[in-house]
Amino acid sequence: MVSSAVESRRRFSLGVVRPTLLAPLGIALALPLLVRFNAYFLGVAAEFVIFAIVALSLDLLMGRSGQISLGQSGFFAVGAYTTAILNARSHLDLAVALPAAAALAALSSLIVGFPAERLRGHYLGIVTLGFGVAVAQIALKWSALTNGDEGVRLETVRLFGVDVGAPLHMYYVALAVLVATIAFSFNLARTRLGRAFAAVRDSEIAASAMGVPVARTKMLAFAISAALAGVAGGLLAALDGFIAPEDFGITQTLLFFAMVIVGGLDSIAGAIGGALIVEIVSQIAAATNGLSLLILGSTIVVVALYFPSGLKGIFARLAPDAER
Amino acid sequence: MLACRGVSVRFGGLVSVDDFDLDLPKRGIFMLVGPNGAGKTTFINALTRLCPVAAGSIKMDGVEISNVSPDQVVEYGIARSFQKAEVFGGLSALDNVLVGLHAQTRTGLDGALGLPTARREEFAARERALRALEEVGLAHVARSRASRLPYGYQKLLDVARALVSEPKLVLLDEPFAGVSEGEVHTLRDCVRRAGRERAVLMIEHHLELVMDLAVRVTVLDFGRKIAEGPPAAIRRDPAVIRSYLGTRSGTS
Repeated sequence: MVSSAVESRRRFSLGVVRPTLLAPLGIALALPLLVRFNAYFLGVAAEFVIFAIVALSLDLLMGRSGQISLGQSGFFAVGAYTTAILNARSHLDLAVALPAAAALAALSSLIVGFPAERLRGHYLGIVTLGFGVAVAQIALKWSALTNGDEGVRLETVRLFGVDVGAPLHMYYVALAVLVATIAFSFNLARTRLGRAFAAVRDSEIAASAMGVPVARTKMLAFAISAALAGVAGGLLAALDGFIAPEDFGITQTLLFFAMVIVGGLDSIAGAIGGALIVEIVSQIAAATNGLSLLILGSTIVVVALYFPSGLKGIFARLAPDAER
Repeated sequence: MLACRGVSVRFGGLVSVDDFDLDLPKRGIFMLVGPNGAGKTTFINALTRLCPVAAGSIKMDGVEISNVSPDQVVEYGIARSFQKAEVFGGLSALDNVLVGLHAQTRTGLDGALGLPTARREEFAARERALRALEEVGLAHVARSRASRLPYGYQKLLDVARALVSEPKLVLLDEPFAGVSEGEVHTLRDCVRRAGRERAVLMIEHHLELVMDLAVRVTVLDFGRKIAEGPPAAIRRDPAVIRSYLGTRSGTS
């Protein structure tokens, strides 16, 4: 059976670039040309790319490691404020501010990660929801640091010394981070750590019998997820040039949640597709003033009723042989 | 190699395993038999630290392990399968077996970054895992999601996942229960091979399998050891016939 081993080596090899991935990447790279550098569309596109990163971070946590998070906007906010404050006060380059955003968000995840060791399901949902709300409240009340409801205005945004504040530039910066996040998630799912996340999700007793430390593995999933969401938050601050507590409210957290549910759990393509659908629906909904949440809510209900496994299930039906 | 002395497990007031001694050498197939509720699975759970040991000592190669955490047990060379196949449903069969190598591999975030050291370890692990799947005759479903496999296959997968780490002691909790006629033969050969290289402690109800595979049988009843010895002697033991074999000994 040597041939099967060799075949599996080829089939399972890491970091492969598949032709099917090149088409969306080509469109993404050419998008600014397609929208004729329209600043509004570029801003929307960059926002979508940033939300797709958050959707991937949340899918890693909920889809891969089976831990619910209704507080992803909290990690997103920690990253955004870290980046904004480091920029506004210390004029720090994104090359420094984004890693700091990731680190601080990961650190903040320990607050939820500790109880997550013992809590699951609804209870973990409530704890994470509380965390998200608390972060927004802290942003509002700790005005010495955050300027309260006046928000933080960023100065010139630089990456490696180059001014990247324009939507066009931020679009490409965010896109590069998204591509890196996709590769990261893809490889993670195919190596030891990603398997340990799924093992803890599917059977804690079997996972621990295999030597997977359940509590530590759950906390690590939270930390990685938070770090990715934190970077995305930093990118949003850089893109918008201004952040305020209302950017990180409960609606935002539910939008992230919706992206993952619409996309289907434990699916990279699903998370990105879910982010795209939610972004399109919210843009349409925003145009129909006041109805935005109603339209979005209905979309979620329809998905939950008729496509319970989300886009992932639809992809699977279209290409039954392709894994994930 | 394994030395258990006076092991007791209690749930509230109920004594599930009572003052139980067990010694296992490095090689061979050892059977744990007894009626339902005799404490067989509970003893295996105590060995793998899934339930607390109220009293007694469990030593593996002279090291006390009755107080280590469940995820450390495998590092002492003890692996197990579960009575009701506890597979990781969302993972492929191959990935399930790869989790069995968790303690023997090191890759962490470097795997997500696709670094060369991680790749090398990953490929070596995959080849080991594939061989373990071949051992139980599941290589042809390596890429299938475990939750979509028939129950008998899930049981075989559970055994492959326990054996892949090449443990010193493997605990198999009714591995043949639910396995279809056709696969019993493959699994029997697999267990026999395992018994030549390592200690296999197995819970089994099927008398024919016990007689065929075991070098020694330990009989539990109400949490206590009531007999121990070679299968042929156990079969004639009056205490065993009274409490367990009873009418069945005549028919099998």
